Amino acid sequence: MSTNDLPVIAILGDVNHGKSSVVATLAEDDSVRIGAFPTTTQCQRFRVRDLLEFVDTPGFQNAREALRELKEAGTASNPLSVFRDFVARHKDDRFFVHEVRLLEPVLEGASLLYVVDLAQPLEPRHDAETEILRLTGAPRIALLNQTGEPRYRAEWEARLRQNFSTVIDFDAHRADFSNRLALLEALATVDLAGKAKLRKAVEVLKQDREDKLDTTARIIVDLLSDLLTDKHVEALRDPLRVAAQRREVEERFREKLIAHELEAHREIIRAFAHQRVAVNEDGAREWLSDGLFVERTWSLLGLSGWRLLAAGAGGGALVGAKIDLMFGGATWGLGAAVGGAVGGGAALAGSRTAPGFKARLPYFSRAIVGTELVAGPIKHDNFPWIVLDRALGIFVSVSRRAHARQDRETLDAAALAARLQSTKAGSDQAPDDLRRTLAKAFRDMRKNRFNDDQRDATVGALREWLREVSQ
Amino acid sequence: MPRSEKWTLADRLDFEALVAADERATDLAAIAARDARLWEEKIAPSLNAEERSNRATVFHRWLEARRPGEILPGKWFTSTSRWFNASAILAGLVLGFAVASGALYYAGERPVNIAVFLAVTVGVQWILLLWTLVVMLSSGIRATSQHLLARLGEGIGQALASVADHLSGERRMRLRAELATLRQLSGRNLQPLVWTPLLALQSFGVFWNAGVLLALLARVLFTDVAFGWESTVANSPNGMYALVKALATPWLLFGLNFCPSLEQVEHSWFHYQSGMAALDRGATVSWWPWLILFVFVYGMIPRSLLRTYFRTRMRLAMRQLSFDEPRHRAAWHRLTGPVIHSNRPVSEATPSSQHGFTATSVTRAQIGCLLVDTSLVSAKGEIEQWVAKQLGWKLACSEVVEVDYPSGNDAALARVAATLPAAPCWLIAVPAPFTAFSAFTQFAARVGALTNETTKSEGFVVVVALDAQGKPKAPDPEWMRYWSDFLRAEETGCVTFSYAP
Repeated sequence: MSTNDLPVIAILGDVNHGKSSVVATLAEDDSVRIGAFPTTTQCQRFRVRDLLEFVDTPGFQNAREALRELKEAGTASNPLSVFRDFVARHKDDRFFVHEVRLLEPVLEGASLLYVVDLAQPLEPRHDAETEILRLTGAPRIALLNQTGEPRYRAEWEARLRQNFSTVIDFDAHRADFSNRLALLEALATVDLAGKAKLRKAVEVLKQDREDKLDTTARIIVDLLSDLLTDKHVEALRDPLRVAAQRREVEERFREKLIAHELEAHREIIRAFAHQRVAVNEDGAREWLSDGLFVERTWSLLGLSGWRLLAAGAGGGALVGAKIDLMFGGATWGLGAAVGGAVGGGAALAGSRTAPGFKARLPYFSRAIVGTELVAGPIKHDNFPWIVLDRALGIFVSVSRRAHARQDRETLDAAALAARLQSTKAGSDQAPDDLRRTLAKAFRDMRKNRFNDDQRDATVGALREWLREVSQ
Repeated sequence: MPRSEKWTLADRLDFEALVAADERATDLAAIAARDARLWEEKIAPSLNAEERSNRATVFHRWLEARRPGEILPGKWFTSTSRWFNASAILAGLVLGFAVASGALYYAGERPVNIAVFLAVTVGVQWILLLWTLVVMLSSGIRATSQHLLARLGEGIGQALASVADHLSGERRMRLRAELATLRQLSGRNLQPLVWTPLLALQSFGVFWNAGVLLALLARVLFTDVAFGWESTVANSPNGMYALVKALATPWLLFGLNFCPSLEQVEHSWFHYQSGMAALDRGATVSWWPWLILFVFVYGMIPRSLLRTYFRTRMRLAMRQLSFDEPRHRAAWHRLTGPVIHSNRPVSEATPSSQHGFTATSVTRAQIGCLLVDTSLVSAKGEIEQWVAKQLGWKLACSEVVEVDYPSGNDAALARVAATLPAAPCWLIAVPAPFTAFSAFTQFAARVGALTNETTKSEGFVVVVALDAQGKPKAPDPEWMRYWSDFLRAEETGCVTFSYAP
């Protein structure tokens, strides 16, 4: 525990074994500097809210020499005093600058995570490192990271089990939320002094995760609600140039929808604190290289034919059923059957084609100056499902993406569809209940009958789905 | 440096710029090939056997061969320093003339006060010179100024360190390496640069005095002017006369009898109460030869002497420059390095170097020690062959060491120490990737101390990577770059090579 009473967790290890990657993933902070070469001679601290502090330490660079002087800690009544003497003695010694710095959090009473890379061979200096950490007597866990083929797993495991009671596999570039929690819980079991605070931190992080899921669900539902009712209206300027202004209005409407979707995607990314992930203005290029109204998007995303048919038929049948009711049932359900067939057929026919943006004049009005040209809202049946799939694609990418990753990801429509398929996060893979709830919500949104209660219910259903697919 | 090879400061600047650029290059094979070609085609044919082993001569030829097509600082430096010197001369002449003309103002109401004239023309120079002397001699002032400079340097260093802390590891190492190179350059190799502004300053001084003399002569020859002296405390002219005569001693000794007599001194003593009418015209005019000689002897000659002194110091500094920095030795080994047949029988055909050039031996085979890191033990045989082939060394000993364990390796280092007097070159084969840099620094310092105790030796580092089968291969250029920057930053004095099978 540190002087500021926060549990401090120091991440130690050899240079280039993945310490900074582990810190980035654990602290959910992609601003951590990661590099193949010794990146720093200073400890860098990353606070996770007011719950925990992770310390990225410089790698060991002279462990064998340091161990020669620290060995006496094994027989000393106060082992840490030996470490303090070492730090004081070598404060300005260029040969031990890294060891002096990395021992600072140890002397503060931090718990230790020792990171090793299973792709790199075990060498005598690593024995010295583990021995130094053992001599500190601090609560410690060894993390088995892997930056490549884990060729040296057996050697590492055998050696680490001699000096660490807990050895955990932790791939910093693939670890998800549950891996992070498991690690903290493991740490709570070895750190008796910080146990209560670490457990509390785990609980708060779980709640924090729930909040993120809830935020994302609300962003997606609000986006859908807005896009399904959005339209663009402009007064006609020149009756002789109706066609030209119509094209302008259509283009502005298209841009408005794209910008709206882009902003929602950015909010989702922000919710998961990914700073390195950017969404560009020009068609969300960073994550989704194919824009919202690109044909490929429409041919690959959204509901597949039969599912859309079912959703469309449901809507049509509902209208038909109402007609049946108007006639007191005298139509023998014919209305519902015809409505279902018409609705389903219409949905199936146009499901895989991007919608047009025809700006129109109001019915029965003449093209005179001041008459309103209207573009939208988009009536296409697959439109909300496509918007939903794109948002889900962003969600599964950022929620599963470890903050240690330095690469930039770009998905075209095919890759996005494949990812949704593999993570079972697409609207096509959603449970029937959820799909029915959403289909009804979309109908109500389009009719401006989507009230707050319905919104909360939809958000709740979507949040459950998000939790499931983010694991 | 032999007198036959005339190195100018511009040459040295160009040379340092070229070797520094080579030190930063990433394609080491390309620069080795270039130098091998230069050696073969342009340098070796024009040198005899003795000249080929003289670094100053070889490097001068190398510089001349490389200059065409390169943008180098020497030419710029030469033109700038010429311009600077000419400006200093012109400024000295104009300012000296202007200041002296002002001090020689005479409108018939009171004579030109010789004390004021000499104070503003010669006195100012002496005050500045004395101040410089005090600074040079006074340990207190020197310590204070050094302390201030150290504080300034520390401040700049801290600012750089905080900037560097935001850089990635390899960029910070690059910055450290560049700063170390700059430190080396400013410390020894470019010391003559300091003399350039000092020389210009002395040129300014010499021509300041020339301007003063011109103004004085012009005033005397073409206008009417009267000189006099004033004093409130003097009771008689005797004291003034004695002073004037004492000051004239240098030229009186040479028989130049230009000194006002006691009567002339007395009759050029100006009092406001009596006014100009009380002065004797002959006496007031009699001062000018004395004044001219005074400016010449106490102004012009010391500045000319100082200028000569600085020029001599600069030439001496140029002669004392050496070519033994690691970057110089790296260039030397590139030029003369692929010593393929140096220790072979003369009858044996000269094989081609790795770059396709036929290398010509310029050095005798050296005897050296090889220290191979334990992680490279599977490649020890190949590394030994590489050393023999590429450096032309005859290995007196070859030991396996742990470069990340500075206090270990006692037995191996004892064997090296026993061999060193006869084998003054040592080379450490290090792996890439490698991370225990602090440990290596300490290990290299131990090897350096060991070898310096024994003999004046040369140290080398070869960076070697291993393939999956444990065979040696060329290291990744980024790792090579990091190793090279690290060794420069630590100023180990080692020349760094990249292993190339």
